[in-house]
Amino acid sequence: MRALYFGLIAITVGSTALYLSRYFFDIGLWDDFVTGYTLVLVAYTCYLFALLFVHDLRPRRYPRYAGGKIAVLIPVFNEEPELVERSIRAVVEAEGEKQVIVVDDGSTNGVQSHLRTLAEELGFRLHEVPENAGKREALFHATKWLLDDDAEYVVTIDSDTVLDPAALVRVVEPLLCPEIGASTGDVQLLNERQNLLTRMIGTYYWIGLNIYKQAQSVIRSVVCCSGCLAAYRASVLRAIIDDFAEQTFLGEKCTHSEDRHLTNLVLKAGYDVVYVPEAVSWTETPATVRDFVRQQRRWKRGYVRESLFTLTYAWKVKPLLWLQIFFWDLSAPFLSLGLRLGIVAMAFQRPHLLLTVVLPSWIALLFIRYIFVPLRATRKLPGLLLYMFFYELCLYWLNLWALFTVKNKSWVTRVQPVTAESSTVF
Amino acid sequence: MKKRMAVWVVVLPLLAVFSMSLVGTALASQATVQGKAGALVPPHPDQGKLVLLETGGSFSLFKEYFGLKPSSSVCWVSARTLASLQARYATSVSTVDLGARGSFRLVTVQDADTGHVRQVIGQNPCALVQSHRTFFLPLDGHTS
Repeated sequence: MRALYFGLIAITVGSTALYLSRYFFDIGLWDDFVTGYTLVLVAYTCYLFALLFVHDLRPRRYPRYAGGKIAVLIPVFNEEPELVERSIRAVVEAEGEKQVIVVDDGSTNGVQSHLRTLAEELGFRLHEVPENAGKREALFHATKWLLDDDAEYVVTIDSDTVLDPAALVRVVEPLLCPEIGASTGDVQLLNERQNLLTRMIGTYYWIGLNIYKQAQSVIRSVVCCSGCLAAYRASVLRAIIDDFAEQTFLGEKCTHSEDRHLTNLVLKAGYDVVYVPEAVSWTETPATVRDFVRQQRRWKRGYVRESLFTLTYAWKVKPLLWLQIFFWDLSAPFLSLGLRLGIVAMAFQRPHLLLTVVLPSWIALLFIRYIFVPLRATRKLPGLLLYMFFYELCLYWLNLWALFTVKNKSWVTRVQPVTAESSTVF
Repeated sequence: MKKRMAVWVVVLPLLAVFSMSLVGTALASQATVQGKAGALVPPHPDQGKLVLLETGGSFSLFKEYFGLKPSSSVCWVSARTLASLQARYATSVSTVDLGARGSFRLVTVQDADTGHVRQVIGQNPCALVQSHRTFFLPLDGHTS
């Protein structure tokens, strides 16, 4: 992992050096780099579209739910009482034979008393941790000690997630296939219409789920079972939970992106992981730029760390996933730094070219890349345009920030309501 | 199923345009200064300099997008001509590798006026080159 991490830093520095080399050395080196990057981009895009084509041509069907017990784990920390009640009630009312376990992770806002009352009324199991130890510890403890012996599936959801009545049974249905170890469902936003930012995030979610996660599902290698709604085969979860709890990165204990690491461990164990769009959940998203950026900083740190982790094993069990992560998912954001620096320089040196050449071609090409938005979710088109700019101006640069601060543990305990720190979705 | 497949009637041609325009532009940018400069540099290049002239002129977004517009010329000019160009326009210096003939310093003259450049260059040997561009393709917003 250490070598891979420093390799990623080398890619970033190398891309910058290549860009700068055009000013001091032979410009041909930079030309070759841009050509290579472009060819890989085209190859990746064709690969992505090919996977989506296969999905549309032969949509996957799973056996129907046959009544196996589903243990639903809901970790809670400082959640607003009405939000967590809404979430628990939706779970209790959902289809399927269930064991509902709520773990209060040392909340300090007094939500415990509300949970106790609810537990008596609805009959779920409530476990209270005296001090906040993080979501990872809560999942570990619940898996280790609180699951019923006859639970066949474990579904984890966030304390602000609201499930569709059929979501539980839909999300566990793939697990009836013995080769599938985990699955995840669709996540929609409860507050999408709140403001421009939430509309933009709504598009961001739609693309992430209906393009990227859908494509990953075709090769049965979804890289993140979202904490909003994730299902695991109980026997698989029990087998990997110790490794999960003990994860370290560069010598430090990991405390965030637990959903992504759980998915990684399932894939590493040789199981498939799939996406089930019919399993629908709703969640709240940050409604201010500050909260959204804060969430994205955490997600991007997890993305860097867990993508590196994927590279350590996927070449053995999921070679296609390894190639995808190695050649595009992980390297592209850092390889493209030089290209972006070129654009920044152009903005100062030749702004007319930026406006008349780069901008129109960029929009045209992104429109083609995300053609499924206008074709299948037309109302999300304005959000797509907004997202494209927001990504370039802000989110892209968080990748670099994440790369150089990936060990930072400042989020070891959650001090904000979970609504602002919801689980990774992609 | 039919509805889902129907969108591919639109998607596949667009994907083809996307791929071909990117690959075509990327490959076209390879035939740039090096190829043209090799023919311009005299056998004994003691006197003179390689200059890349980026001139203005009528702008066509379509031509720019598909890389059809040769908006730059590479020339072999005398030191005196170069000095007069540098006196009027912003310039930058890089190195161009001409294989067995070695490396040459390349002075890029930016946003030059076409009429004035013609006047200054006179009979100096020049060759048109494809303008180089970089597409801004940050299509990786969902890898995190």
